[in-house]
Amino acid sequence: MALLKANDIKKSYSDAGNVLNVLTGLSLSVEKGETIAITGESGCGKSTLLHLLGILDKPDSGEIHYNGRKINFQHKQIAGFRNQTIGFVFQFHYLLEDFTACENVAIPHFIASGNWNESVNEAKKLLTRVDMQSHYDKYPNQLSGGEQQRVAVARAVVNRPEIILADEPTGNLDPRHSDEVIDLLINLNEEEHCSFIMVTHNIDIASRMSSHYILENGKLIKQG
Amino acid sequence: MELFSAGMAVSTCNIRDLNMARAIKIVLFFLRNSLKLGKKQLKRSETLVSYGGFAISVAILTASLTLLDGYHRTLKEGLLGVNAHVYIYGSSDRLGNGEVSRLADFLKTQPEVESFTPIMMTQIMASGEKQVRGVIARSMDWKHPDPPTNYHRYITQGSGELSGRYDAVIGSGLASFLQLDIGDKLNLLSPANMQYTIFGLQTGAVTVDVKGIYHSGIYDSDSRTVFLNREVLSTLRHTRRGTEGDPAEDYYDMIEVKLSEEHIDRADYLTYLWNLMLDDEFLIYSWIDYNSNLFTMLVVQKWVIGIILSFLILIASFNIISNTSTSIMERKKEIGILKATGCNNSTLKAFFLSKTMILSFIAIVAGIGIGLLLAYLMTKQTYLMLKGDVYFIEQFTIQPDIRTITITIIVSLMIAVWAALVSLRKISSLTIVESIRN
Repeated sequence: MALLKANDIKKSYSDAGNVLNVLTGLSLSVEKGETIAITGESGCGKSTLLHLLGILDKPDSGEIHYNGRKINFQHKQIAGFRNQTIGFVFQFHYLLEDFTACENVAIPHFIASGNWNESVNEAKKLLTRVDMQSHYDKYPNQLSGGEQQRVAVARAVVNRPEIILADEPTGNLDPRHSDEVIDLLINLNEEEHCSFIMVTHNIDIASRMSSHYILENGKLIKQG
Repeated sequence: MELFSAGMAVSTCNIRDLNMARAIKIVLFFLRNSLKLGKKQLKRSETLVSYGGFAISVAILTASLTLLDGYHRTLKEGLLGVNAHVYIYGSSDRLGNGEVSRLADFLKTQPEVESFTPIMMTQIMASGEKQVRGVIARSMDWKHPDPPTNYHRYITQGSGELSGRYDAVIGSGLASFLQLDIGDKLNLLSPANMQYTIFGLQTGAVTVDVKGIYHSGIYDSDSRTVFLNREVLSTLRHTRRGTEGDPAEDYYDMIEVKLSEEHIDRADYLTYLWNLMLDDEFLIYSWIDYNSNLFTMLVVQKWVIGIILSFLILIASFNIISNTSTSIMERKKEIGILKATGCNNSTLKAFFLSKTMILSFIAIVAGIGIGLLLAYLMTKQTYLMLKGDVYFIEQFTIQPDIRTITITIIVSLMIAVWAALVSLRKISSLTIVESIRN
């Protein structure tokens, strides 16, 4: 059984009366532990696809299934499901500015468990794992871009999600930090056996994933 | 609807309780974080203006209601101090000794009665050196251990004892008007005391000595009442003719009755009962019968003023709506991130609602404190005074009433909750993707 299955997903946006069809009947199947890279031209809908797969947005039509069960976007517990099952790494770190690195990582775990001390312990372990052990109490504006993204990666995996969705996680980083973050994500994938979908412009990074798709004309085309 | 329990090994029967407990912990966590940022947020002028305005409107409501309660209490105490609780009149406007004796026997059998005394009174003119005023002269049994009225407690100068035949006790207002002091002479003129003399019809004047001056706080009483001995009153009423020792029978005008504390507010019911028991032979009235319209009007006035000033709080709450909405929009990205990491709308709304309620509660408490202070300052100032002949009393007084303050807090909190809920709808309408991108 596939971990994630998207069937005939359609999504469009309207802007001043003009309708832009971004996804036109896209389908995708992701197995447990599979790593997938999605590339495509700028504005082709890669981020839109990731947002739909991450249940951050709702498709106009089509179905998304996790572990064989169809997602009900209107369900009250959808936020809890997202918290437990999906880890998201954005292009911009999107850390909470008023919270420390440790608190940022702990919050998703705290939302799930309700136990702050346990969440902080878990956060510290992960920050150590991403080589941020000396930055527990620093605020995001006190960290470099690479450090911020590492904290974001730790936050994404703190609840041991079944799948990690990364939307150009190295888009704002220099090559050295980019490699660090990609290595980190791949290592985590191997250790935690979670599935991994990454949107990227970088063909080299894409080549490190087990599957590579190109998003073109609203549909996915498998490469290789 | 199917539940999504991926990663959560909990039984579905207590998911709701767990969610509630967890939501409370999350809200408290974010509130504590907010407190850390509190000083920074409070220094923002928009927050100070919004909640400051709310506090001021609560202060105005509190001050107004406290002053009204004070007026109500002072008026009631004053009226009950200078008036008896029950008045009993004869059906022919006078009570003879026989009737007084019969009523005395009846009143002694009533457990609600604390004391009673028969009273003589008449309308006369009182004159000083330059001024004349119409007053009510009445008798006072200054030896009575527990008189029905409290005039003896209101003595501010001299003594309340009418030990001499021609002693008098007058109110502070009358003393001021006629420019009299202790020991001064007061001339009393009564139309009933006119006599034919060789010089024609002359009004008999009685001169008395001012032995005591009282101040009850009730304008009418302080300005228009003179207490005299019965013998002088009889002379003024011309009910005792000839020389002393004339056995002509005098009469009383009424009996004043004092009730025990717990029965004061039942006085109207007791008068109804006594009328039945005495076969309607006498005219029996209570203080409530004389003043019910006044106190009913005061209660209505208090409610009307309370409702009108509550609208002031409602208008001030629009600032809270604006402030909360601004706060939500300023934290749009943060809300998007929290939603993306699993925080649901209910928890976020609970956080903003709690924050608004805490700030509102602080504003309400501050408003009540300021209101009480304003009311207290009103009682100490002398520039704005009440007109005694209109309002019965001249001085503002306050009466902080826990019930009034509690209702003020509840109404203000309800308005603040409403204001917060209006703004919180924004949180549901914020989509994750748009919030994060912005």
